[in-house]
Amino acid sequence: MNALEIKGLCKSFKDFKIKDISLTLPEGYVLGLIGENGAGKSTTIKLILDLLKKDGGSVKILGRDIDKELELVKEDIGVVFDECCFPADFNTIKLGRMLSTIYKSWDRKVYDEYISKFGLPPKKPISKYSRGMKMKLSIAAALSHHARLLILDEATSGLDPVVRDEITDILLEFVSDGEHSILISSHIVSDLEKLCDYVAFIHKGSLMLMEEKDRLYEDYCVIHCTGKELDGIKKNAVIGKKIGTFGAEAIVLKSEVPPGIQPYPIDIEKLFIFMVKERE
Amino acid sequence: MTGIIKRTVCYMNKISVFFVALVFVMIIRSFFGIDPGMDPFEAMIAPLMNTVIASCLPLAVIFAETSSGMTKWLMTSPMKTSAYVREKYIVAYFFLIFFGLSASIHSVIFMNKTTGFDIKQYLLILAVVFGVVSLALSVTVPIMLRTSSVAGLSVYIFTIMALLAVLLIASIFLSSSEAGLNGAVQLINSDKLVIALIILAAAAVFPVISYFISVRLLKNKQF
Repeated sequence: MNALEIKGLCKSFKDFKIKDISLTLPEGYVLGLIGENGAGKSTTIKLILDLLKKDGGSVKILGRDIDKELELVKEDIGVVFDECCFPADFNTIKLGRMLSTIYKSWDRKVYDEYISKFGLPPKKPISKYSRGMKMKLSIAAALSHHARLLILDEATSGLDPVVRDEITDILLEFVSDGEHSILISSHIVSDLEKLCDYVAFIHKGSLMLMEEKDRLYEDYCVIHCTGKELDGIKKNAVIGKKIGTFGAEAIVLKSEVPPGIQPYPIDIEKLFIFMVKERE
Repeated sequence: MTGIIKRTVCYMNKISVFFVALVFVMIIRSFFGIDPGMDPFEAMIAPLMNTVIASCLPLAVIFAETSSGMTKWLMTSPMKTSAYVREKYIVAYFFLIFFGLSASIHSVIFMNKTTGFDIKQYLLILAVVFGVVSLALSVTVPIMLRTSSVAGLSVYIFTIMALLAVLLIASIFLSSSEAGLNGAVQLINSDKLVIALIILAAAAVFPVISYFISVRLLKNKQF
């Protein structure tokens, strides 16, 4: 079963459009939405969660159409936004008490374990927590009702690398059993590179690419060559290029690299930047 | 229901001292602050204002939830929109009824010390308090849920002021002519109970209409 299935998602605002986004996240995997600030990642997530009303398209979460059965699926999803949404004067004890009234499957033991594992002081008000602690708390809350799909919107932005790494480990542990899935959006590509099985590039409200991460590593490579050599490669094999005084750097399909040119492995960040620049 | 109470208690923790203080002031005033020669309006105004203020404070919970992003987050949780809205009305009207009744106890004590207890007069006062505050809450809650802004509190105060102004203008207008004044006095004296019941019925209808509007507004809200 697919954890998430989006087809032809559209939404128009005065000055921005989400154009025909289609994504599929199989159960047990992690899908990273990559895009620069304002690309439409958060809007896409809001449309998935029905926080914004879509103009067209369909969204299925855990096999259920959100237009008809969103209420039924909410018990199975955990959501973490870029800001901690919980009341600032609550502590973790009060918050746990409050959340237990919302989720039928709320597991106090699991929640307490996460709170202790994340080193969150239970009696300290949330307002006194650092940003990293607030994010850990939001994740603890999202994981303590046995959610099957976790949706994180820019949850790691603004955090230091150590906390980001800790959060990545927590999320990897969450999906390790193959029954849980994650949709995570970020503009910090290095985090997603560690975490994701699938990546989707969003730029100016459009989906540029949705592919298995390992497939991208297998299919694409970076080459350094002269402008003339680059011209000799099929145009549709070149994903993106940068031409400077001392030669050209390009991301191309591995199968189309001419003999004599050394292919280097790509990283997702470079692929994304090259693709965006090529589009522009 | 338990959830609603738990959540509200969690939120109200900080301002609960203020509510206790309001009740305390009302009790002290009821026993020691009433002079038998006092103008009835002067005696009633403080506890009535307490009701207005206390009923407005649960709106602060809506503001706190919307401004912190909690409402947005709750919409991703299994909590139904209608349950969330219902919770807000229950809390707001709990405060209205609690403080309205507290104010009315003050009225009974006042009547006993001055003109003697008149059940019809008492019900009329109570109905006016409930009517004015209920209408103000019914206008304000949907606005606060929709706009997520503190401006909703201004709407509440503005509605109360507008209603009081209407009552004041009506009383000035009626007292400007002897016939009008006599007619009003006669109407109030003859049908106090009926008027009180009509106002109370309206006070009960406002939140029902407002509730359905709020649910609709929140369901269509774009976060």
